[in-house]
Amino acid sequence: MANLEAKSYMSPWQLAIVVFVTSVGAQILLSPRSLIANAEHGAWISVLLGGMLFYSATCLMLVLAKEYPDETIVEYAPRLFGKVGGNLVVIWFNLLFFLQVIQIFYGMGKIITFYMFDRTPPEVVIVALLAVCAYCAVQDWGTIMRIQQFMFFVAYSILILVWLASILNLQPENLLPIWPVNTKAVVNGGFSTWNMYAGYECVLLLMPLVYRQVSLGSLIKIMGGAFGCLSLLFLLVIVIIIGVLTVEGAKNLLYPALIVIRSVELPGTFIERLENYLLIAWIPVVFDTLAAMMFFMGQVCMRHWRQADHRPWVLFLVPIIYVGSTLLDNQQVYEMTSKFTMWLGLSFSFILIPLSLLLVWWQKRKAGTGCG
Amino acid sequence: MWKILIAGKGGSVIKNKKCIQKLSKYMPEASLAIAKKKLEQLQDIITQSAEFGEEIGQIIAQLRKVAAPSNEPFLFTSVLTENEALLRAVFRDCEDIEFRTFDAGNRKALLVYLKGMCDTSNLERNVLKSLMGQTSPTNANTVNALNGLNDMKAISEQILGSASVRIVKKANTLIEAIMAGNALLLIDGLAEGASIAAVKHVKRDISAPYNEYALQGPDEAFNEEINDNIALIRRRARDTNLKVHIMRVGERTKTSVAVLYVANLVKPGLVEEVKRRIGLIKKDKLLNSATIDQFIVDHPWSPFPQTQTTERPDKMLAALYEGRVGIIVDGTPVEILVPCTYNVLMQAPDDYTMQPIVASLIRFSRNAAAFLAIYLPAIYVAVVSYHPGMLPTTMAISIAELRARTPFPSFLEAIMMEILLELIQEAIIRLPLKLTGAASMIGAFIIGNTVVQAGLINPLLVVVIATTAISSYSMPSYHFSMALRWTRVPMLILASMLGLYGVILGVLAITIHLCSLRSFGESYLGGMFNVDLLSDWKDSVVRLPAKLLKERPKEFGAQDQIRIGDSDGQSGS
Repeated sequence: MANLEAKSYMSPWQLAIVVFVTSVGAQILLSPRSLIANAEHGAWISVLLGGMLFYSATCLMLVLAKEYPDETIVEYAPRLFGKVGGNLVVIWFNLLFFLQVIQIFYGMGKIITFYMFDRTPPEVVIVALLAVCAYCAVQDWGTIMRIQQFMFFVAYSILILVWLASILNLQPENLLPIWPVNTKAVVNGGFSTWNMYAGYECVLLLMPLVYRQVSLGSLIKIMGGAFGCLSLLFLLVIVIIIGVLTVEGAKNLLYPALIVIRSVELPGTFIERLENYLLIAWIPVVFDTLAAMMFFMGQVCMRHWRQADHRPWVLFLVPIIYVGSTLLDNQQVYEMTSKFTMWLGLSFSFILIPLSLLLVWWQKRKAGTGCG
Repeated sequence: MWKILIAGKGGSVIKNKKCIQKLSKYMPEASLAIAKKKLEQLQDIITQSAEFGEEIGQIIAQLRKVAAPSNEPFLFTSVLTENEALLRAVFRDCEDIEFRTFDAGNRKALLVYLKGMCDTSNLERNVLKSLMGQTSPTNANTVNALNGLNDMKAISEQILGSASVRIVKKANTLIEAIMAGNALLLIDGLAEGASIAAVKHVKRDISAPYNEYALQGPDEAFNEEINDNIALIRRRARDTNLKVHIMRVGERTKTSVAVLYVANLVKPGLVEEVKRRIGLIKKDKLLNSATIDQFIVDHPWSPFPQTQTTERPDKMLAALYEGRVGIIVDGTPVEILVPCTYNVLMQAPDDYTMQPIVASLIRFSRNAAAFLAIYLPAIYVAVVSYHPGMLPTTMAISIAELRARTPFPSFLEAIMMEILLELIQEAIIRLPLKLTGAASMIGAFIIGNTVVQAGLINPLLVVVIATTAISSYSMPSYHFSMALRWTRVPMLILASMLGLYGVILGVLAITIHLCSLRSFGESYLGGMFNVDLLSDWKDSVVRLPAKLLKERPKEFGAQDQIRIGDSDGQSGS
């Protein structure tokens, strides 16, 4: 008995935390500009709308996963869509993680070099974090889950605390008009928040670890808590950015959140240049997402090729991720990839998953008819 | 002009030689090379003789085994002289073994024991007097006693007055018993021996702990004697569920290792795993518990301790009642507790003797100290070298002024200070007690004053390194503070290369390492922020009043989570 620790399950609260930390990622600093540019004053409604949309997508995924309690999407996709279709679904699923990971690495490298090391090439920053993420991703799920909980309590509390300091510069009149006129932009903005909420797809991989602990109803409720917290956090970010910079100001800045926090002064205190503190708290948040996604990619490959160990796959993916992140060599390519990933993610959540549920329902009905 | 008489070959004498000549010129066998060769031959002969003697000894020993099983050196016969000869062969060149022959009635008897390890007055009173007195011709019971001499069991039951007597037929067991300090009684005509417990040897008294001093609370500490240490635990708990399993480790030393646990609390499988790992230890000698520690941990290359060590029996007992397992090693006063997590390493005995609110604050400061002990010098180097803008302007200017007076970059300054600090710490530990005060003074003077005055190090770095050192001293576990010291250097390197970004990456790497470490299945750090184990915070992150500590820590998976009637609230430290 090498290990006495039971790791073959996780509690629903742990799943909620995993979904939360996997979703937040780098996008709290990377995404606000495009969202504000699209939805303008209605960005806060887009955030809430997005929260509801992607929560419903998560619920659909939970329902689907509950149909195959001991399997992940990698195992049941070929049964639903046939061998070729199943393989395509698995590739689609893994591609979602891969594209998000390379975008986060690219964005993170840009931000860190821009605000902390202006003379250092972004590749150095990316390689350093990639090494740490790979070290984490080659661990077992029990370890990664613990790290995520650790970061949830430590890094997020620091991040939120530092971010809340920017309330000092908030001008409530900048938020006006609170109710927007352009409904279409708000709805589009809601869909575009996929980049912020993305990561919830991990429930399709993690459900077998949690389903025995709780009923589907309770799990959906607990997951609602996770999405509530996500929406609240994104709302806090968007509202403060608009409140401090105005919509016009935020639209013209690449990373408005960092400008917001940079403008904060705390006279009479020891603390200056708050953007450095925010970045210090943000790096573990980004790491959390990246490590989890790299682990998921390794797991998908491992399960697809029916192997017992995900670690060689993680190590195999490391250079591919590095090359992928360096290929996004300018903002235009990055935004194009981001848009492509968003449509890929949206179609996965709102076309493929409902289709899978329909197929499950149809197969069940067919099986029932056959039994007479 | 020299006149030298040299005895030449055949006794001829050469006179009036004008210079000194070599003796070997006239006596070739006296040349240095030949002498060396002869000497080597002689050495070879001596070595061969010794080997030959050993081989003969081994052959004799093999011949003496006769029909003995492969794992026994010989079989006892019913002839005392033969048994004595066999034992003397085994204990050849062991001059501390005493062979005491005496008359027990009409038979010869032999008492074999290790001088200095055996209580001779006990043997005189309970063995020699009993056997010699009861079987003397003047004694009225002689006839009965003589009848009893036909059976060792009857002798032990009717004649011997010792508290513990064991009848043994196997030679190996008896030899081990003698080496452990017991006496062996052999009687002519009986092909078995009696192992008489009469162990008494020089040992240290129970004293106060050297490294785990508590301001309030018991002052007893373990000593080097395993039985005393077990007794210190037993004396505190009249509980039949407290079990002791003794094993022997070390092919030559056969050191006793006791595994202690509370049967109805310990996590199922844990005791078996501990026994399995100890049983797998293959080593000739076991001299201290640290050796066991290195054999049973999951990650021997990690700098962080994965077992908890303690000198305090109260601490061990408290840990046993949390469902953990204690390992007591004979010959060492520092014993082991498993599983070990970050939480238990952060607990100190005094936490349970002071007010809960104060204890909670101290725990918080201890955790902060652990953070500072690893990261403070790295943060200093990162901020000073890469991010001076994070500092208030006045402070940044004053630091720049201070640094302008020193010739080295901040990383080198920090490394130099670390090396200096390590040297002083090592010197203080190694020096005799009377010199440590002087060494501390010199160290403090050098670090605090001279290096600054010499313009080698800036004063702020002295403050940083001193804070770091004091932080690491505040750890309840010495091994943990050593690990913190060790991790400072890679952190400094990361800080010097990538500034605060490097520091954060270092923090992440250490966090991953600590979360991946497992001590007998329990996560080292992961349990601290596990949402399923948040109830354990009441005696980890903080320390609640004793009456609120109704449950045992979940992370150790005790079978019974409720501390029924346990009001002292003392936990695993």
